[in-house]
Amino acid sequence: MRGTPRARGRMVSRRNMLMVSGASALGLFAPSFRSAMAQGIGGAAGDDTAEFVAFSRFATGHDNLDPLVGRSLLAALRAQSTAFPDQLAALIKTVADSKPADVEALEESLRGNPLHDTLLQIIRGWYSGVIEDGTDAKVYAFENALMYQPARDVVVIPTYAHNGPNYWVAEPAPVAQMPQF
Amino acid sequence: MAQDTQTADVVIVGAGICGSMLAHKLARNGLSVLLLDAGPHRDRDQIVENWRNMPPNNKSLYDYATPYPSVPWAPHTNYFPDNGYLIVKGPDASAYRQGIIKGVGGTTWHWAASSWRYLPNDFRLKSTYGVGRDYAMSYDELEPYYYAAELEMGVKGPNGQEIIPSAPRKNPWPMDSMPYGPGDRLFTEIVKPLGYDNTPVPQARNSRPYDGRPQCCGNNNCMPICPIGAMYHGVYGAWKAERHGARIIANAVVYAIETDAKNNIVAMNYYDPDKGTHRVVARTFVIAANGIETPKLLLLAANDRNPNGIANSSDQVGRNMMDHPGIGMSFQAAEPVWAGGGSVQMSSITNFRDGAFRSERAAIQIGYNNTAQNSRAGMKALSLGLVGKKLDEEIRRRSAHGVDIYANHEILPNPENRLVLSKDHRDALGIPHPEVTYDVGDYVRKSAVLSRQHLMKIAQAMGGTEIEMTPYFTPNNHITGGAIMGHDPKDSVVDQWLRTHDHPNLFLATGATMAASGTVNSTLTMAALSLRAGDAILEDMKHG
Ligand SMILES: Cc1cc2nc3c(=O)[nH]c(=O)nc-3n(C[C@H](O)[C@H](O)[C@H](O)COP(=O)(O)OP(=O)(O)OC[C@H]3O[C@@H](n4cnc5c(N)ncnc54)[C@H](O)[C@@H]3O)c2cc1C
Ligand code: SF4
Repeated sequence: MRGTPRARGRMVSRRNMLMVSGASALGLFAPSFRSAMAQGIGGAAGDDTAEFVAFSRFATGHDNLDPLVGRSLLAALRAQSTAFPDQLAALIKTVADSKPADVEALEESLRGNPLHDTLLQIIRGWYSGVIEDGTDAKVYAFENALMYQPARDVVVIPTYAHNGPNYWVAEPAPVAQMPQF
Repeated sequence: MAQDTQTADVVIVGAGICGSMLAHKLARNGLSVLLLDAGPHRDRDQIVENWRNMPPNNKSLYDYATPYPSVPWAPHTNYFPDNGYLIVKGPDASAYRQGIIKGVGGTTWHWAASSWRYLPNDFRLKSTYGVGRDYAMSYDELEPYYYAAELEMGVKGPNGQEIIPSAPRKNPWPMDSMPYGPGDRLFTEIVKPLGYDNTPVPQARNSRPYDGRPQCCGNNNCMPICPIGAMYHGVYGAWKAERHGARIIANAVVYAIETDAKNNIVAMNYYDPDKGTHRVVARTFVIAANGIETPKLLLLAANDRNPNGIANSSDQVGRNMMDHPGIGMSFQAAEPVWAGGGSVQMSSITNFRDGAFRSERAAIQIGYNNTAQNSRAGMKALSLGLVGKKLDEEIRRRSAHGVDIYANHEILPNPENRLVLSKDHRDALGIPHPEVTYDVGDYVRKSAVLSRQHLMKIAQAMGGTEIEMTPYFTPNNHITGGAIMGHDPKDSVVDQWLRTHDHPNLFLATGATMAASGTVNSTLTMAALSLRAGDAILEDMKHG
């Protein structure tokens, strides 16, 4: 059952329900708002974001990254360190030049290099949704933070209902069966 | 002096679960009720948003306070980082870092809603086992009020299941338990051959639509906020009270109490956030400001006639501070457990709630914590510096295999475990912070040696790795004892109706009155005691 289109459909509708009863009416309009922004990002002003998101796809191993989150993360990383744009450019060049098979290979090749930290910082941003430690850290992504995706077929993302009441009587999927995200 | 005066039949200080349920009962019975709360109104949607916007590290460390911003005129505890509101001292200071929330609805906004009855022997610890103190009433006298509270809160429980020991019931729980998720199922199975009976926790959460609130859909976010209202909190009582005509004033910090020559309470005074003063007059007054703030207010409000504090001729106000000192353990189980299916606390081991051993050492409750492990799994895996597939696999593995268990201990009332007004820390209104000195005592320490063995045995049976156990005692927010009940006005603060011995028209509707901590979460007992006090108040009103 879990992960079938029907179950997924139920999940989405529950989530919408939650938004209506929950946070803000704006939540209802989120999808169209998002796609409009994504289109905007394709334009001139969004070139940097597009590049950052493209590199982030390689860095995270996941294609389905939200460009809006990408834009916020990029702005935040730049604001945090003036060196970031150069480091990002250097990382992009490293990938172009040495063509590592995947991020694991890139990570290994960068050990001992200051760019290693930059790489992990970008990955942590997408996974955790924050780029700083501490209680006041600004959150750029929550329900779409990547760290909530590997177990999302079985474990709820806090505050989001997973499915209808008593969904938890079903047997969970095997640990080895990684959901697509 | 006071700028304005408001009057009511009954003034209740504190719109938490105790004050609100009592306000509802009194208003429903035709009394005019004024409910004052130090903190603001709180909005569920905003709390959900606040939590979503909290850093994942806070989520992984179970920071439940940050979504409820503390206000300068009514600060409450927050340990992320420690805001210094509650000052704790003594050998077990860390075990008294309690969570409380100020605002209409009170601390149960972020509770787990585990709603147990105490056992008959918890009410007569001294007469049965020769230790601690007895309640000023028996279990049987409280039984009808337990049921009234369960009906009001909507408690689901293991109807039809025989659990030993259990509190005797005249009526079934209003709702049946919901089924376990994978974690509680596996835990129950694994501990059974070790001789532990893991049984459903009665919970104030809907296993079917109940009282206008929806059925629990298992989003496992009970602490810090149920996003859909399937879990009961004090605010529902406050709203019902309001619908029956009670008036609620938020941001009203009671700080002074006026008494007459007969030591009746004449009026109370409160500050608004700008320190403007207001006066409230009533026939009967109730303080329902929780186990920390009730004794604090009684001490703060000392006046010429009551120089050691209101209701404190016995010198027991602020003494006997209790909770359930806990030991926490976490590990990675050999098999996938998948914590997080259903609510955050579904089951617990109750074999050691009672027995002859209580003459020497504390009774305990052992439990499995069903809070989803994904926040913690994500942060841990990231801290290992993993990337790519390995990172995803590690997060999934930890989400599936992570286990948290705990053992909570009964504690004896000890007058030296004491809350006083801080001499050097004051809030924005100039009111001293509470300061608690805490030592769990040998009764707990003796039992804790065995608790650690129980936990280790369970971890081993689950093939645990990365086993970590807190070397210190943890707090459990079950704040009891600070205005203890008893028959003798010389050594207790309230009588069996929660009426203060010193002031005929002042009641304390709070866990502070509880004379023994028992082993289980104590709020249902607080609520039942408060409803029982309501009958005394209604009776008083009949006779003028
Ligand atoms: C994280 C967490 C989980 C918990 N889980 C459980 C559980 O599963 N089961 C269980 O039984 N218990 C649980 N508890 C404990 C439970 O929340 C408390 O026992 C309960 O809230 C006490 O109710 P109360 O009405 O006495 O006090 P509160 O709910 O604290 O309400 C007291 C109110 O009084 C107000 N007040 C204080 N001082 C003043 C003043 N001077 N003037 C005016 N108003 C004032 C406060 O603003 C507050 O709103 C948990 C607690 C925490 C922190
Ligand atoms: S599991 Fe979810 S729906 Fe159920 S009580 Fe907890 S937060 Fe509410």
